Amino acid sequence: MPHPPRKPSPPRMRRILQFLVGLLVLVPLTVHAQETAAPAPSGHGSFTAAHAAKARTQTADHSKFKILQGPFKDGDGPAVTKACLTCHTKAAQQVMATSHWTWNVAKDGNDGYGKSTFLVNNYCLTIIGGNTEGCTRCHAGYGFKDKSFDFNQQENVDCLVCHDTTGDYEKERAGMPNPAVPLADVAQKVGSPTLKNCGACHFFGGGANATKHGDLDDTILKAPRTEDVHMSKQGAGMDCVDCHTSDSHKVGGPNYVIPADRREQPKFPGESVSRMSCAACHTDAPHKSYVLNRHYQKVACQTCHIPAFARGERPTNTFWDWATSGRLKDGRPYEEKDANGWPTYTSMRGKMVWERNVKPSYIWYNGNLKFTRLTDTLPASRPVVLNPAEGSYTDPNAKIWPFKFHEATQPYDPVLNKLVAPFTDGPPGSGAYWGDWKMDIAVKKGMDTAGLPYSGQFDYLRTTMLWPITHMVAPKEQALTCTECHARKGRLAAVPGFYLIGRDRGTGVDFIGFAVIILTILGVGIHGVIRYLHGRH
Amino acid sequence: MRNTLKFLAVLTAITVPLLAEGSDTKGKYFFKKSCKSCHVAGAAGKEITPLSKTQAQWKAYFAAGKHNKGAEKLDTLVKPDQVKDIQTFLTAHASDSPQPMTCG
Amino acid sequence: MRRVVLYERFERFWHWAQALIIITMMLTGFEIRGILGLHLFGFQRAVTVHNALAVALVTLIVFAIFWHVTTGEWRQYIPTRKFLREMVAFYLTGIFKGASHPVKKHRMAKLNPLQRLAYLGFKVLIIPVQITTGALYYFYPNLQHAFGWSPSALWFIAVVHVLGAFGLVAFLIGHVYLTTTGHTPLTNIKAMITGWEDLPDDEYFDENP
Repeated sequence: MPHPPRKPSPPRMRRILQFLVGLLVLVPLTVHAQETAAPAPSGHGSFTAAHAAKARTQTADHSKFKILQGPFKDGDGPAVTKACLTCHTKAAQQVMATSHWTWNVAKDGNDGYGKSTFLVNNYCLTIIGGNTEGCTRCHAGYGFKDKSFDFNQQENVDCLVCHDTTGDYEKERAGMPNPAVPLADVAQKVGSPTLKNCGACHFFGGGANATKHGDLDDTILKAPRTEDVHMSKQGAGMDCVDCHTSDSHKVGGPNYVIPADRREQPKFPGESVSRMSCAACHTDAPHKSYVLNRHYQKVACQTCHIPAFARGERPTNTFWDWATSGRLKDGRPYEEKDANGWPTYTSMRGKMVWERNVKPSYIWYNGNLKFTRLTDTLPASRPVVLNPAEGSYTDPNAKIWPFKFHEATQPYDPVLNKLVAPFTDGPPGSGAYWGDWKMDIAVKKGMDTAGLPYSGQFDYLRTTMLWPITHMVAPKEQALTCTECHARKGRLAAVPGFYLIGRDRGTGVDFIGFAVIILTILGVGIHGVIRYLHGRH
Repeated sequence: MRNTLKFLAVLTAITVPLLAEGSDTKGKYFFKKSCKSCHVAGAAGKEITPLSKTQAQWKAYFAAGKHNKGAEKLDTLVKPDQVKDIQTFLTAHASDSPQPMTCG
Repeated sequence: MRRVVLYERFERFWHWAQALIIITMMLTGFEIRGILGLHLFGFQRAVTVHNALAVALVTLIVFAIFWHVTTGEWRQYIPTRKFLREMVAFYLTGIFKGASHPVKKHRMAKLNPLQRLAYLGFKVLIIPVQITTGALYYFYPNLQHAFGWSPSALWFIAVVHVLGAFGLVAFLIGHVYLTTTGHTPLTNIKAMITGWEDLPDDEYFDENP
């Protein structure tokens, strides 16, 4: 039954088209809105304000205490400590239980992890070959000259190095105060540790400013926000101890003995996560995007938010070549510097490479670095990694972390296949390397002092050390963008064990895909051409 | 106070044969405090370390006692006993000394 | 010849919205994978758009299923072997000689046997595979976390998802080409836009029940 033809209704069609166009515009718009929603106030300066409040609310003015009036003899640190202990009766005992004092950390039930024992690195190597007196400048105590040091003398705890607020306190050999330090004045102005206190030692790891870590040096003290959002005074104005919280003088830190996922686990009573964990302040879902937040399972915050290390003005040491050390000019040690004034060769240490703004290396890391001691037999593989990181994709505690890889050559005993402890720091005539420039004698003397077996032969060994990067966090605008890693030759190109979108693109799969598409186009094209040639349809 | 000072003076006289030479360690402290604020790489005073001169050159410099190319007297900038300490430190670690400072 | 509404308003909306979503997902998907160095949205935007559109697509499909069921239109997709051989022969030879279409389009049977097969395959195979692998892909970190799935599982999911995407591109090319085989090259597309198409008179079916 035929019915009257209806005309198409253009307005309706237009409405539908409008809707479709609307959809096209709307979806990207909402997406855009999600991404660029205004950030929450970041609390800049809140910590600076908090510190001012801390000073204001202190209940004790130490300058009012008679016992701190002095006078103290030049360089007589222990006398100051005795004065402190008259009120803070338990303080020294607390400090003596920490690694700041013992420089020795038991690990896996084994002794020997720590500077005072058999731990060795590939910068200044180790202290126990006779270098103790020079190195204990950074010991939180007084008089640590050699292994005869009495670790039970309470007055030898150094209160001032951590609690000085004047900036006038300085330590010399064996950790004694410089005799020029105005001890009474310093003692009367003690307070909570600031960046300067921790930095006095921790900025100078490896023997000089910025040398060891790559994310800790004295540029932090005057850093612009772009260098370190947390510690910069233009940023949050935080102190080390805001994250490295302490309990009974035990300051939170890695300590060589690192629990898996160390920054996450609560360290002290009252914490739900360790304050050293980014999540303690930022939560474990700080981004607007669910997809970004989920990266937290496998990617450390540091990986994206620290695009490079040594981002301050100072370069960090990336290569230290002991094998070329000891060259003399006219019988005297010398230095060569590059255009920046950075030493490229010193007789004391050999060839050196210094770098700024270095792209980190990325590896799986569950919080555990397996350190090598002087007593450990070296693995057969070369070059030797002195502290390989544990972790893999399938390890639930492991994340991809940024690292500074420090390369070096250092002396070892090829017969016993162990690292050695040369005596480096001493005057001419003492047999010390930096006095007499003879490595064979220095190693022999060092191993004797350390009380370790030595075959009498030494050679130089190529070693690598791993330093996790976690400080000098960049502002969020400088965080890595997706394609820094989600790309064929991105930053994570060498991180194994998982499928990474954008990086792992099976060329075979793409080949099949393109083959299908090309065959379809060919088929369609041939069909169309034939149709055209027949002039029909 | 006075007793302590006396004791110190005596002690120093015994342990350091030449009192007039000042203290190497103290000198390092005062050098850092007084001189290093300007005399570092990139700053107005340009970098100066003990290695910048030989022992003889340091001796001559302190004998003249002039700072800023002769513009001012050293003693007006730093206390005289501190100048002495600084001289001791710089000379002890000068470029031709037995223990040149190359660290830090 | 009579003009009839061959495609309902919702059907047309569904078709074009789906087309838009799928084409955008192809582009964003290929950009994310890094194919041909595509750079249209930027990686992060591409990921967000791709994921948002996945939700939109699933929502649309839920409505489409409801529509198909309630209107009975799902019957249009029941595969049949009737005229299948004739259809294949038509596309391989007949079409060049100007032969007439072996299957008459009708309001109640608007898809020829080849279309039925292709669209059914699209609906019950490619799209479900893409949605399933896409969901597994998206939730892989959660699944890996919860069930300890091996990393190679993600590789497998990705491979299937990408092969499906290439399949969709091929489908799109063939689909668009075949729309030009109507009375005139634009007849079918016009019908899909307006809903109206001229159909030959048919004595067996009443167009206005």
